[in-house]
Amino acid sequence: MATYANLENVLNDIEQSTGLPNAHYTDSTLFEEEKHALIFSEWAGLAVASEIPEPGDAKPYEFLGMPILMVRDDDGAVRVFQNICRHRGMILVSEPRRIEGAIRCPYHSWCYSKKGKLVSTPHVGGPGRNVHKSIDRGTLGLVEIRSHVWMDVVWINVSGDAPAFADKHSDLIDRWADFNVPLHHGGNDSRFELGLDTNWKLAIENYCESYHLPWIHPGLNSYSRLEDHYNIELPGLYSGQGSKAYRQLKGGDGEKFADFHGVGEKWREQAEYIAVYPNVMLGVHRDHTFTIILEPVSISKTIEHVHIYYSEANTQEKLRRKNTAQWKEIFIEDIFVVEGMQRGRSADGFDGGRFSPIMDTPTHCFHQWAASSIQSHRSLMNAAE
Amino acid sequence: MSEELNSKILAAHCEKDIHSLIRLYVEASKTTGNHDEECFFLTNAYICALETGSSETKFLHDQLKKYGREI
Repeated sequence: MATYANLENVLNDIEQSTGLPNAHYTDSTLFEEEKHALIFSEWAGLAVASEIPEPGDAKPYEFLGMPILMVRDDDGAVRVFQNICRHRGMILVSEPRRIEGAIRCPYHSWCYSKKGKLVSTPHVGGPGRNVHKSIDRGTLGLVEIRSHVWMDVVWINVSGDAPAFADKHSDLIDRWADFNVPLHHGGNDSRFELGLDTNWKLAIENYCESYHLPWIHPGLNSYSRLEDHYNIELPGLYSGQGSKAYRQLKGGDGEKFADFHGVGEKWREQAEYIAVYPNVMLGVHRDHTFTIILEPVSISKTIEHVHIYYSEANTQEKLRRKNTAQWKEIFIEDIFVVEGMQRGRSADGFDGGRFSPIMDTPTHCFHQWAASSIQSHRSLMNAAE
Repeated sequence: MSEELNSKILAAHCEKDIHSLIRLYVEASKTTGNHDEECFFLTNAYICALETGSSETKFLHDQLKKYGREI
């Protein structure tokens, strides 16, 4: 096993600690290690359930190189499988489509139900003979990946051994109980993607903190001043920032989005923005929420998949578009920062950087989670060698 | 199988016309005196029915099961 920089200093108290070493942003070997240590071992965001609204809808993904198929079964449940046939490992579904009956492998036509059960193995025992004693269909269903839907995000645990999502994230689920209501995706005008030339962790690190707002988002500062913000941290799970100065978006005639049903008084002028480790960034407001799923493409490339939700299905398109444009402008303002920090990681000898003990605690919380998770993973790997 | 039927099957494959393939493979299964060939075509019809969720799926499955070719 290769020797990497010691991470002990990242785990120090914030006043002494430095961030993750450069290699964690520039070395493809570490990207591969972090895939297992930080993403496959956790509940990671794959996509949103709204992308497959009807039973039979299926959509393939390549998530960190792994072919994945998301399907809504006939009972309406979202299921996530490895997108490969148990026969010769052929890709089953190559583009989003509606599956009317079974999922048929395009190679030798082995067929699977939408729940992943292997239902037919044509000619497996010779022409016209569809059974063979060595082919036990009961053990050859699609490989299902643990999944859980919350805030419309389809969270997956590839390693299969994380605590149940509802247990692991019970604190956040309770914190945002007011948003445990139907979230209505705004549709095509409420989703967009941003390609970033940066490591995925830098997008999280930037999202966590409010320290950068006055300089990077001066437009926000006109009503949401730095002093209106507070830090949010739950070590090992999530971190972010809240604002006590949220103002609802208004249309030309003063029209606004309706509040989420039953949303409490707390949220009248409050909003929260939380990065759920490893790769999902969420924002909640009295009248809309948004989700950003980070797709780590390589050590230095990331795609942000953005989705915006409302309290009701029929919102005004003009107002929706205005809201999308407003958020898109803010997220675009962040690009030069996360790309600049990525380029900065090529500075030989950079020590990972220091943190403001007051303003950077959410980012430090993320670094500590990453460092301790990587160390745990290395211990496990060393023990297995 | 007649050349005409063979051509229709090839054309249906070419057009990915799965619903027609069900009917054509069933037709093909009736044109042969060979039981294995009959089951071969019935199997193809069954797979097409399975894929499309056709109402003929159960009938075809029952046929193959009766012949000991499905479970």
